[in-house]
Amino acid sequence: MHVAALLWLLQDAPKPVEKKETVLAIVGADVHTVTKGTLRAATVIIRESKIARIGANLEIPEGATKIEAKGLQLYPGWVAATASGIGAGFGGGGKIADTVDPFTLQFQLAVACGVTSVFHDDGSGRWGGGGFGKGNAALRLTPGEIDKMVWAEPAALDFSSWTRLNPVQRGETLDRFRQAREYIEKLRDFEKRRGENKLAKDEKEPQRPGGLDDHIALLRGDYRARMYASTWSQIEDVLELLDAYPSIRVVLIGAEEAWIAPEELARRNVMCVIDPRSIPRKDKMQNRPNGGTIELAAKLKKGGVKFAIVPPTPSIDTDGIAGRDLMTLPWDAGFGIRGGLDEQTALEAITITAAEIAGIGDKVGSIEEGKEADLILVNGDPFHYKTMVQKTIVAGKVVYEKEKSPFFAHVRPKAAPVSAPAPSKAEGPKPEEPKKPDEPKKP
Amino acid sequence: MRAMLMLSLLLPAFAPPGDQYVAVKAGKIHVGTGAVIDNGVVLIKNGKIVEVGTSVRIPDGAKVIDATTDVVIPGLVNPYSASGLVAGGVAEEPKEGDGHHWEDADEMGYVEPHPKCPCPLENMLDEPADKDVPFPSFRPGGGGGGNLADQMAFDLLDPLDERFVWLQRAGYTTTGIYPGQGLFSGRMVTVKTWPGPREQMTIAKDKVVRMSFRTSTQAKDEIRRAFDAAKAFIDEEKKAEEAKKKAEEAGKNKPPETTPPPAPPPQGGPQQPPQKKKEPTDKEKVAIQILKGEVTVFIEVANAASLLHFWQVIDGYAEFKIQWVYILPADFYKVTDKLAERKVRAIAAPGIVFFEAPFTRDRISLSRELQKAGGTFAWTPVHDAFPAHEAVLSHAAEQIKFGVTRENALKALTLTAAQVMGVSDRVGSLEANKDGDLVILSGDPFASTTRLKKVLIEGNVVYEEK
Repeated sequence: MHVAALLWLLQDAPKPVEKKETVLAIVGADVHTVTKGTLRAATVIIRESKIARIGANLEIPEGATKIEAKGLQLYPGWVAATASGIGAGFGGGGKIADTVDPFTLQFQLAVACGVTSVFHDDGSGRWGGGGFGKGNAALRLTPGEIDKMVWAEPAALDFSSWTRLNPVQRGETLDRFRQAREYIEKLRDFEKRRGENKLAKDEKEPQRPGGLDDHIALLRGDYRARMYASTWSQIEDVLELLDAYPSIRVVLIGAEEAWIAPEELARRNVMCVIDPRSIPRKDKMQNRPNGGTIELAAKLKKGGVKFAIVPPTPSIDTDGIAGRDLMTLPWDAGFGIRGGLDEQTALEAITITAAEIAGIGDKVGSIEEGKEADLILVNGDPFHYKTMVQKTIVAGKVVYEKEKSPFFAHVRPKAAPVSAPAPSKAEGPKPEEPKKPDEPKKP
Repeated sequence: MRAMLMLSLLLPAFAPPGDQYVAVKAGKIHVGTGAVIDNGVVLIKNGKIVEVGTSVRIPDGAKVIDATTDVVIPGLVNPYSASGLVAGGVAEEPKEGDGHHWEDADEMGYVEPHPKCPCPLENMLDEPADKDVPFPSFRPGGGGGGNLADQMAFDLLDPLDERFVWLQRAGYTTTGIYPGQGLFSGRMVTVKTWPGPREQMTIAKDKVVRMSFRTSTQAKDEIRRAFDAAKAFIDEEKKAEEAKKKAEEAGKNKPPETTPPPAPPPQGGPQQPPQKKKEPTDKEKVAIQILKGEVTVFIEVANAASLLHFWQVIDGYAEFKIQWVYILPADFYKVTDKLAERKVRAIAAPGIVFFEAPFTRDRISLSRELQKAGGTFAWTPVHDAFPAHEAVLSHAAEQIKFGVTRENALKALTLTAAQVMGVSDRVGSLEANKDGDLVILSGDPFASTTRLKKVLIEGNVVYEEK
């Protein structure tokens, strides 16, 4: 055998790479923490994939890669509370984790536009008779890597089918929830007595009823139940379920008519994923409030409902009208502002609240020490159309730089950093006076 | 029957006709290892090279081929082809530009040899192909289906395939053929492109297995299941061997007359020990060989993302020295850094040059990236049809234009291709003891004006420019 061939025998094994802690320091940016106010011209130090320290005039550790960000704005990466077609396709019975693709154009564009985590929903099982859709995952957009790409799969159970059940099916479903609750109560009682050593002799743990795992998970709050509900009548169906089983953590998707009585949702801890631009026309033949309004976000806020904002097309659409997909996610928050929402809540709706809805609120969605370093540097007010993402950092790694990437490098290539978007004197032109739609009457 | 008869007519051509010398006097010899010899001689004895150099004594009676104004390179080696098997063996759709000889095939998959074919097969053209004649017995009916993991391309080999003759005309003297599609798609065969009885053509038939991977939960699980089972078999085998050793030692220590050593397990084979034992399935048999490194695996990966998923799976078997050769996807430049880390051996199509990303017109040579990354690469024509084989030198020239070294370019077409298939002891370069397979060109191999003048397989001229 040839020497060369022999050498090859040894070649294929991956060599152990010496691992040095990577330290990144972002210096001089205005840090918009989302949860803890804004720090002007501060420093953020990132060790490996986590945010280590935030503060003014921090000493930069030796060997750290320094990013000069004077005049730029640092935000947590945007989180899309609903998305599809970014980094994963239709699961088709397999696991999403086994088909994620960190190289697609959509993936790269999403990262270039500041989206760093998404709730991927392939829609499978959504309309099944009483079933729970599990074709979803909370994905982290780590370009070129798949090992850290999946936060959780499934990240929620889709229970949209509830609003489409006929009375018989509905009764059956409620019966299953009843059995699940009985089991949970029995188990809780059993564990309590076991803790107190009060178990009867030979008493066994209550038997887990078959086929109710999803019901049990929902009642225990292990997963959120995502339910597509647009009209108030569909929302009422959901509220009815919640009145019977209040421990289910519901996220309403769509929720266009939720403005009618947001306090009813708030009272039951229902969260929403809304699109401020989705405004169904009012049906004048109905003698009850209906239709949509651009003030939906503002009214939900006023009523105490937590919500995330998504665009009309929750994916990357390279083929259609610009400004309607995840490339311009902050604009949709901007439409919420146009309808009267405050900027802080609009920001939360595409960061921390969206992360909570995707089940990753403890990891991303705000800039806090100990949280994951998924951050973006932008050159102005994020809600303004002139503002562009300059750098995207995911898991402590710079994965997009506007000047170096083919995406958007040609757009205002020499843009000087614009001044901080102090909400009162934002750099961009003032938003126009919101046009008020026909105010629907309150019930 | 008729085809069988024709084949038997070919046999004398392969019989060793005594010490027969062929001497090729060349203006320039590219040995294939990187060395270049000016005004040298390649001396071939009974089909094998005996000497290459400038001071070679040409024996009396040797057939001398005068190529003193020409350039000699080793016969080209295609490591990765689906052509040359009976229809049904390859469950692949005909590729673009591949159409007409598929159309010519009758319903049994028989393809007529090229009318101008210079090889003895032309005798067959006297009569039209008789569709009622059954296949010779060596053709398994249908082929391809059922047991895919263990199917052998050798069993499906069709020496009468017209394409072998085409390959000769393009300078290819050796070709590796894979038997089918699917995750575990069978054992490849490496053959000379000189049609003849299968055994005569074949250089190797069980050195390479092929896998093909596009990421999905099912595919990942299937690999894990097969490898886990193989791992269990290997562990058991090891245990059995240890037990056997212990038993032998125990036998030595005890006086032989009192206790004869306990019956040792039968020799060899992974099916030990004999007690109630699950036999490995065909797929598991292949997986056992893969994990043991007894076979090379040609793994075709659909895209860069699949490559990441594939590594995620196989890194679980890092304790095994698996012989991977990657058939790389077009977008593998996206994972160049990882390829560098792994120092992969790869097969790439030299013709593939593409745009890096939307909105740019940056051309990237895949092979150049691999060269930069420190990997090893062989080349296969861009597809299986004749024009791709014929154009392979100009495709290689294109790669040189984009940064691949001339040396690596020639190796990728010859020696490296032979090495990845494990047949470099016989073909791939013009060195002593290797087969006398060479190509005589009118000039520099990578110049666009160069013509192919002669092709020799084992010292026989199989193609000559008219």
